[in-house]
Parts: sequence; C-alpha cells; structure tokens
Amino acid sequence: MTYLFLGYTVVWTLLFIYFLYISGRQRALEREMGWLRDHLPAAPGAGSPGAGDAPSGERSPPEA
Amino acid sequence: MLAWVTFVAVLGALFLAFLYAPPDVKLGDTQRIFYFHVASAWTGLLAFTVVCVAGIAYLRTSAPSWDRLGLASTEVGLLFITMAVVTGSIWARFAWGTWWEWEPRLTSAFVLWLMYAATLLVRNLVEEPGRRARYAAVFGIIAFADVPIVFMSVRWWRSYHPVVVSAAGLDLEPPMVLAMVVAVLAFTLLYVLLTVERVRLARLEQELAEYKRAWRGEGGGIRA
Repeated sequence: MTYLFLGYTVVWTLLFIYFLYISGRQRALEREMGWLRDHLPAAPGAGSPGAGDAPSGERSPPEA
Repeated sequence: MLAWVTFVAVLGALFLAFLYAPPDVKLGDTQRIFYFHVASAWTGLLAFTVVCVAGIAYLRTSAPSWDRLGLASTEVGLLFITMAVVTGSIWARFAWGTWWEWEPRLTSAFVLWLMYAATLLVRNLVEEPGRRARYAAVFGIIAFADVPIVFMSVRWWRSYHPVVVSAAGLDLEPPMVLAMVVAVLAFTLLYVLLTVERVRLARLEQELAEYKRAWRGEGGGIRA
C-alpha cells in the first residue's frame, strides 16, 4: 500500500503543480496585458498626442 | 464544459481503480498504480504524436497556431511521460525489487523524456520567434521516431516489462479492463483540457510580445 500511495501522490502532485504554473502564469500575463493596453497609446512611436508624456516611473511594463 | 466532463471522468476512473477493480492475485492492491501508469503513458505518447503533426503542419504553413499547439502538447506530454516514468519506477520497486532497470521499455521511455525536454530547451534558447518555431518543429518530428520504439520495445526485445496489449487482446479481467479504459479516457480528456489552456496561454504570451514590440516603437500589429 505504501507504493500505491506514493504512486498516486506523485501523479496528483505533478498535475497540481502544472495547474498552479498555468494559472499563475495566466494571471501574471493578463495583468501585464491590462497594464500595456492602458499605457500603449502613450508609448513612444505610437504617434498618439500623449506620446512621451508619461512619467518615467510608468514607462516600463511590469514583468510577468 | 470540458472541465466538468474531465472532472467527472477522473472521479469515475478513481472509483473504478480503487473500488470496482479487484486486487491483483500476485501484486495485491499495489497493482492499482497500473491504471494511472498506463493512462499517463498513453496520454504522453498521444501528446507527442500531436507535437509531430503540429511540427509538420508548421513547417508547411508557418502558421503560429501550429507552433502554439506544438509547444502546448510538448509541455503537457512531458508532464504525462514524467508521471508514467515515475509511477513505473515505483511499481518496479515493488514488483522487481529495484527502482530502475536499464531494460528496453524503461530506457526508450527515458530517451523519449530526454528528447522532448531538449525540445523545450531549444524553445528557451532561441530568441527569434520564427527560427525558434522551426527548430522546435524539427526537434519534435525527430523525437517522434522514439514513440513507436517505446510502444514496440517490449515486443522487439526481451523485456521485464509486461505486455498489456497483445495480438491476443488484453491480458486482464473485465473489471480491470473497464478501469483501465476509463482511466485512459479521463487522462486523454485531461490532456485536451490542459493543452487548450496552454495554447490559450501561449497566444497571450505572443500577444504580449507584440504589444511590447509596439511599446518599443518597433511597429507591427497584434496577431491572433
């Protein structure tokens, strides 16, 4: 029974870790996308009236 | 919807593996590892078949969607093959008295694991997206050569590993066959679910890369 327990623990732990990885990465990416969507019109090269007006602290997107 | 169907299938597989299928005459309850070991191995081989198909399709069309499918299937396939190798090792410790034996099935499965791990490494090493996708497609197609070897190894060479599916059919009692089939079905659904989610994530990553390029003023629109 020890081996059975060990086998199933491995299977579900690996699946759980992968689920966590996917959901965590997805949340981080969505956050970063949201930030970029809000700030992109002001990006240099985008040609919008506000280009280059953003304070320097807001110029780089957050890393996922 | 797919998530709920998968959830029910996994619950059904657990019920059949633990409560419905009888214990093995020789190995007792520990034999129940078998259901998820076989299901993991099957799903891993299926995933790598999809990687090969996606690789060929990418090389023919250069469509990023095929590359995303290849990436997703490589990652999820590697997860399932890892599960198959580890549960196999645990079972070997119980049945053969050793964690690992360099016999044909285990060795070819380990080589398969290494080849797809290398494919993921290639994806991390190459910066330029087009070249990265091409290299990964070629690696995925080459690595697929090991899939039939893994499957046939127990038939071609002398191996300790039992042959579950033979020309004579399945060497199992009917309740065990049912538990195995449902476990395989449940893990196949799990593979589809995880791959769909991973493809979605890959699309988001690509979209983000496009946004970042636009942010840096490199031009280019957002591709779906």
